[in-house]
Amino acid sequence: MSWLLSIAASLGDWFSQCAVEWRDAAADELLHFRTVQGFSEWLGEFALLFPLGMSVIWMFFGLLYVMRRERRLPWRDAAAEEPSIAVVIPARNEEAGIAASIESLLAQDYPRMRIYVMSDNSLDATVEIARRYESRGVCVHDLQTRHGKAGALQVALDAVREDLFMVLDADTTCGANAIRALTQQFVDPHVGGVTGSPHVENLDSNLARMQAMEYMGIIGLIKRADSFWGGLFTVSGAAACFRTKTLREVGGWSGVSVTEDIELSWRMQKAGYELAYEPRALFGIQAPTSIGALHRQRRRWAQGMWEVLRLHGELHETRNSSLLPMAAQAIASAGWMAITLASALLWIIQLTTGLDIAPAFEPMTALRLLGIATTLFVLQTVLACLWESDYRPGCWRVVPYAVLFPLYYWCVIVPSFIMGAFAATASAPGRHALWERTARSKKGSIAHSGRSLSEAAG
Amino acid sequence: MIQTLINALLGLGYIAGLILVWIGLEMFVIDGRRFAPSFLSIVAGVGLWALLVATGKALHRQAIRRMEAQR
Repeated sequence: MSWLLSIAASLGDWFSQCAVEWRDAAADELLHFRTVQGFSEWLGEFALLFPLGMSVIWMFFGLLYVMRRERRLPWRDAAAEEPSIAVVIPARNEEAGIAASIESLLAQDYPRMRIYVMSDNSLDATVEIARRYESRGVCVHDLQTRHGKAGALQVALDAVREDLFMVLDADTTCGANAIRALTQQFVDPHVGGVTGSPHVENLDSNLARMQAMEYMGIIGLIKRADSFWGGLFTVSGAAACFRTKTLREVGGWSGVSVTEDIELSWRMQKAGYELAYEPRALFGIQAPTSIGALHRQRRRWAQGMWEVLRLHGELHETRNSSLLPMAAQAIASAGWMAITLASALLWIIQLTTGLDIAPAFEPMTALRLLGIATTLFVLQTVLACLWESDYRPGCWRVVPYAVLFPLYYWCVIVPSFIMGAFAATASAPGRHALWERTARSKKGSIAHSGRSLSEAAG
Repeated sequence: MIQTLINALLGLGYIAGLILVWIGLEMFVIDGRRFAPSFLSIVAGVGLWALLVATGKALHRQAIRRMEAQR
């Protein structure tokens, strides 16, 4: 008994020592605010450490999701009736990729599926290519006026009779059994929508491979953590499936944001429905292969995120608490973005005026910071690879790119994110998003991005 | 009113969890202090998130049950 008491006493001493250290550290943080230099240092420290903190949180909850949910994902009883599904491909000038997209759907082993191609006033051979598949059951609708992606999807939603409504971008392909895997999650009556796992197909450049690593190691991880919290920040706009009845109940696609997928995800979850992630449903996407195209894509995502927070950010009365951790992340990200910008401004002021006000780190601190950041990103990617290797063999090839991820993140992602936030502040939500041509790969595949009606008219 | 209060407390809790994680990282990475207190701070932050997630899920399930009963 005495040895138990001595262990308890030692542990108590150790905890109290830790608490004193923690209190001193917290007090040191407050001291930072006494001087301009101290405050500036605090800004720099927060800007550099916030992404690492989020990484720790995502890894922990991602791990919980894999252990508690992913291993027990439902497979419908073979004898049970499968729901009918309408797969809608919205397209505008997608002649380069639409055939591959339709072929991948026709190769699915899912009998109760109907494919709809919604051409939004395409000016190229999109409609002609799609019509070649009409004999195999593909329905082609050639809209003569421009509706935008959201508008084209809404036209389809008004017409379909199937139980489920799936959206597949025209430059996206379905992996084997992806449709069957997606539909499994609807055995839960509270699930309103399911999103699949995107993987980059055009691994022909270092930039594309870096994005492949990002989709697997960051976006896949975030979706797992979000799923554990009970929702998703957003379904993937390239491939997502919804219950048709639920989609109609929440009003379908409103087209009020440049990212219709994020807006619909929040609206659906605010209405009390759950969104789920299906890692077994793989979808091949084309990643941007130039810095400019990538920057435009990420700026659009960031703009959409801020627009949606402005439209749906009032969560004080929501009964879907799974939105709160996502909102907390978004608010913290907003603070982090402002602080990062302030740190950068202090650097510029120091360079131009010579005033000693910018955050500065000791060489050893900088080295430690770099080492820990790289270790965390590599650990995160290795974990993601462990989880994903069941579904995509060969994913380990992109792990070495995790070493360069901090550089890619600070040079490409962060500036695009900040510019997207400014664009969202400058634009009024409630406008219609139309298509815009964005070259993604050397093969000439085309993707869409948002453009306002007024811009289009101009 | 009660829902607003619950959501505000949950939201503040999530932010507090982030701050705990951040201070833990700051102690170890920037100050180079001992590993144990910084690790405990990170664990406390993540633990707080886990507790709030569990609470939020339970409340959400309760709300769904109530909604279904009303239907």
